[in-house]
Amino acid sequence: MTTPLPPIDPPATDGKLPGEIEVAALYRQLPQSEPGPALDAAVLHAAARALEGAPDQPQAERRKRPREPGDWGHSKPFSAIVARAIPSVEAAATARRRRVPHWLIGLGSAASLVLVAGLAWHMRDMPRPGPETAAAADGIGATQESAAPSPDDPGAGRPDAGRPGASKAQRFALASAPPTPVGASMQTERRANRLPPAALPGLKASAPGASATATAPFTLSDKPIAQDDAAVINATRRSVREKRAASAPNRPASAVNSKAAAAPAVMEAAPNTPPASPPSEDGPTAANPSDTPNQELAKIELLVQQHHEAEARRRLQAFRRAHPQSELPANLRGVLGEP
Amino acid sequence: MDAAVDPDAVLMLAYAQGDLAAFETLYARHRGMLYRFLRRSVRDPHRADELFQETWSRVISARARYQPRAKFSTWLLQIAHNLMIDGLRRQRPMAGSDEAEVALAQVASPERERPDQALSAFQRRRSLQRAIEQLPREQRTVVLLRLEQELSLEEIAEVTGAGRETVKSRLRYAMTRLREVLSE
Repeated sequence: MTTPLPPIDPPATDGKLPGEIEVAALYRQLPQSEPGPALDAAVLHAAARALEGAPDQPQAERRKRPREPGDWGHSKPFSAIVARAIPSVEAAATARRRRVPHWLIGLGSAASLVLVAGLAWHMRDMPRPGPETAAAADGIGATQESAAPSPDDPGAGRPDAGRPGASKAQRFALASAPPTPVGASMQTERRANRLPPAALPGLKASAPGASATATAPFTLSDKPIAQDDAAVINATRRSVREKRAASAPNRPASAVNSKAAAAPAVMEAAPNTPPASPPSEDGPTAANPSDTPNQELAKIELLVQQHHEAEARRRLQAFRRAHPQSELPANLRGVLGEP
Repeated sequence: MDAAVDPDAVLMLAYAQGDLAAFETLYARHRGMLYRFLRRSVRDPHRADELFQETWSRVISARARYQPRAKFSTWLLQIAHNLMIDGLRRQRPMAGSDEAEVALAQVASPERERPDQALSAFQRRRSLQRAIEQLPREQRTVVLLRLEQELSLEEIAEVTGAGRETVKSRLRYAMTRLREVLSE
């Protein structure tokens, strides 16, 4: 197998090869085809549009192969560009709106997912008012019923609004503020737990008004915050009861009777339900060695009311041992099985 | 390549600055040459139209970064050649030689040519056309660049991306073949 050698010609410089002139002359007699008018118009139109900076000017395509000499940019053919021509400004605006990039949709979805996950994580840390805290709140409300402000007081339902130590401006700010929701008070409690103790006196000196209302649980209360929240809950319940009672004459008698009867039934049915958990050791019924006999008896009565008979019996026996000379009330003697 | 030497480069730079008339002049100068090169290289008229449009599209897109490092015509043919090679790599079927017959029939013969001479000239043109078509692709490209645009060996080498000696060898093979066909 042999490879044909290139033809050996007389030494030719970069000039014409032998016989090239004849071939070239004949070549010039071949059809001199030229691009059609439509092709010319398309090219010139594209050139003009590129200078105008039209939005649909040819854009470089993503390169798929290595660069080659002269291959300086890939763009779509004019036929495709003309086909995509936008006839009017309205259509252009619509097309621009439709051209939302896919990555933007994906990014928005991912951001939404992160936001939802963050909210879920944040809410997971929030304490939820369960039956235990509700029972504790009821207990606190029962013990502090006499000390709570009257329902006629416009500041009822807000912590420390009726406290004699509160100034007039503070009372007005508290009265004008909306009732603090339970969740919000829980959040403020958590904020208070996070705040250093040294920061509280500074907060006490803050100006009255909205900011004073916002920081009221920190600034005006000497009691533990949990007790303040319980007082808020009880005062809110009382105000609701009062409002219902006040609006009762405006309703039909049957409706009033049925609803008025139903509401206390619901309210009173709640204590009949057995408690879900034993009494809290930190609650108002917790034994305190510094309590007087009367205070200890009041706590035991509270335990009986909360249907913690076993705990009440144990505390009564301890009370009997500590104070053998004291006489027990009749209901507590019944707890011990005595006549 | 100095822009002052090549008037086409000056026109291209002017178009890059926003002068549309410069592009129109540039286009008028090279449209026929480019179209014929493509038309005889790929022979499919639709494909030739597409390549023609795409070549000018790239010229327009590259106007901002154009630098007159070579003759404008060399750069233009280089773009067209690369596009054509890309198309050939996708194995587009070539048109048959029947189209060449149609094209040759459209050639206007000189009116004063005698019938026997006209027939002879027609046969020679048809033979040349067929001989060019039957050349290997690399040789055909080199011959077309040489005959159509009268490019030098270096310019053809620049357009095709081959070495000068390779271009020279291809051109010699091609010319020898064409002369053989014409002498038959």
